[in-house]
Amino acid sequence: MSFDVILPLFPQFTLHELKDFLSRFNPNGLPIEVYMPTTREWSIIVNPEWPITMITGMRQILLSLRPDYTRQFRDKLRLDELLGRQPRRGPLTKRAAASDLVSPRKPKLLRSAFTSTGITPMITSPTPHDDTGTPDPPVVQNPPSSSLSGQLMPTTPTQKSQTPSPNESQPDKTPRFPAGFLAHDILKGTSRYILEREGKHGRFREVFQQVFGRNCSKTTEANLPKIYPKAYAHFSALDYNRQTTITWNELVKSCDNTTPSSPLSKDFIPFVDPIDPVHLQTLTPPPPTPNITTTNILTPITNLTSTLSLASPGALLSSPARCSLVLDLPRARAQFPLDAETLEPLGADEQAVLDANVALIRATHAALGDGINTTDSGDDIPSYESVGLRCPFCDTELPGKQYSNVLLAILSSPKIQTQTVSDPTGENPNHRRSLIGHNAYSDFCAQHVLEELTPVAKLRGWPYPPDFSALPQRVREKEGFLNAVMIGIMTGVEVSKFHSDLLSMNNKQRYDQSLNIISAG
Amino acid sequence: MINLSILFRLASEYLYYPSDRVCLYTNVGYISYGLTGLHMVLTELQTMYPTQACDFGLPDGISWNTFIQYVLVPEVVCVLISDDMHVTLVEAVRIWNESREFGLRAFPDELDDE
Repeated sequence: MSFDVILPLFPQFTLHELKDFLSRFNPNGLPIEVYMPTTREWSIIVNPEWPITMITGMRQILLSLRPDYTRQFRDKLRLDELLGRQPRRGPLTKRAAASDLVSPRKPKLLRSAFTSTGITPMITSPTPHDDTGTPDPPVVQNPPSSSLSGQLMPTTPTQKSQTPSPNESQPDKTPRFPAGFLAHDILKGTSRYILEREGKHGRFREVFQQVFGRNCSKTTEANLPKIYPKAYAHFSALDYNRQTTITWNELVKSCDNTTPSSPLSKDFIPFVDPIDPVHLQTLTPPPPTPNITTTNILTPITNLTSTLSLASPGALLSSPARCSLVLDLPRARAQFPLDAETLEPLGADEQAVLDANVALIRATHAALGDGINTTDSGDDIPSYESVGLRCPFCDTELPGKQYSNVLLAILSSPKIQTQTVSDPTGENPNHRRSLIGHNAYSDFCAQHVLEELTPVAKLRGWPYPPDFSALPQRVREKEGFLNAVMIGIMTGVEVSKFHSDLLSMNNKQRYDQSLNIISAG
Repeated sequence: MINLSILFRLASEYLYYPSDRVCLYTNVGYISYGLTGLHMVLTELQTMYPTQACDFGLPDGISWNTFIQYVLVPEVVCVLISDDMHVTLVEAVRIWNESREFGLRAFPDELDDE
């Protein structure tokens, strides 16, 4: 484990001077490894009063504690949380965010973040929304309610064996960890799980524990390599993005449902489509296509049965209307028994409805992705209260619960809005990624650093805001002092320290120039 | 040959480096006045002393403008800080080192942008 330490002193310093660091990470005075910049080697420093020489211009140095030392303090000091909250050096990419969620370095942080009360529970029953309210994104959700699913979707013994979660029988009672995951991360997690499983490390059980928060049963272990490609195909067909959430049960169900043989079996239970009719009502309707009216999307069951006679029943089962069909599944199944011969591809009308739905989902995702997630992001993305407010660009923690007005003005300026893109991560839901480099957000970061430093200035009594108008006159009054300084330099009686520094610097520059001449010649 | 030159360079940095690095003009912000205030001090001094004002010979490679930047400006700024904060000159150097980052943040150099 290595730390970047910002040094207050140079060109020489001793470990003895880093009292805060030593008292926190090395209270017993154990030897520390230091990366010596002059020799470019790691060397063990036993005596903390040995001087360490640094190259000029360096302000940071690497110190490392041995892993056997750090194990002693891991439980006491909660090092995992500390490491998890360290600011990243670079901007977070999607890959880095997913590996953060899955990384074995921060299981405690992950667990505390997910079990905290700040998370919106993912297992919710759909409730009717007001027309004036903001439209929710089409989040992947569980079946509508436990009672309905218990009556209309009886689980057979084969189904129980395929779904290994104990939450299946009692979904609403105290949902254990995990409450829900981002679909992107779950896919990354499963891919990492499979990679680990194929490798020789034998750590796949730990990885499963870290990803899904519970132990890996044998049936799950056998099924997971088969599940992953199907789940990937399912999500890509749904046009998922990183804000869609899904639970483990839904993942398994969707994978079972995408198998082509399942509609033919007698125990077939259709998967509740994530295109929820309740949410579709609140969303703005898509631009009307000439052939299809939007009312077809929301056909109730009574109208469905009339349209069923027109199209083949097997084709309707694969259409988006099956979400409402599930509610009345026994009656529909009695009317239209399934046969292999009746299965046909989608009709032109249903294909158009499906396309309209997909366009609607894409439009809402685009609208959500472009907005600023400053204050009202808690409903869409899980917000971690334990982490607090972070800078959207450099991920450093900011004091307070909201951005100041100046920061909000900078954030909503067209420069940042056009040159940066919303890129939420697990740690920082408000994260934004720059398209052109650090020039896009340098103003923002400079402003929040200044806001952090202003209390220090007031505490020390520095003149802030300063009086610039009186400055030239004050300089002009010091003419006598300056003449005295120059006379002291000329006579050599009282030599200014700045003058001697200037001379030594001049000597150094001339020495460097002579070295360059020698090396060139 | 290359390794030797690197060794010489490291030795030179170690031997010739000044002990207290206050005087370097590019690294300095004048307490909360920042680089803006520092530029005002510099322009005022340049109007006060447009040409060489004293008789002592400057060493090679150092012009009068460089002398103002590296000697006269820090001297004046130390006196100004000691006036502002009511401290001694030694304390003023310490306060200058502490407040460097804040000054640069609060009033960064506007000349770089133009």
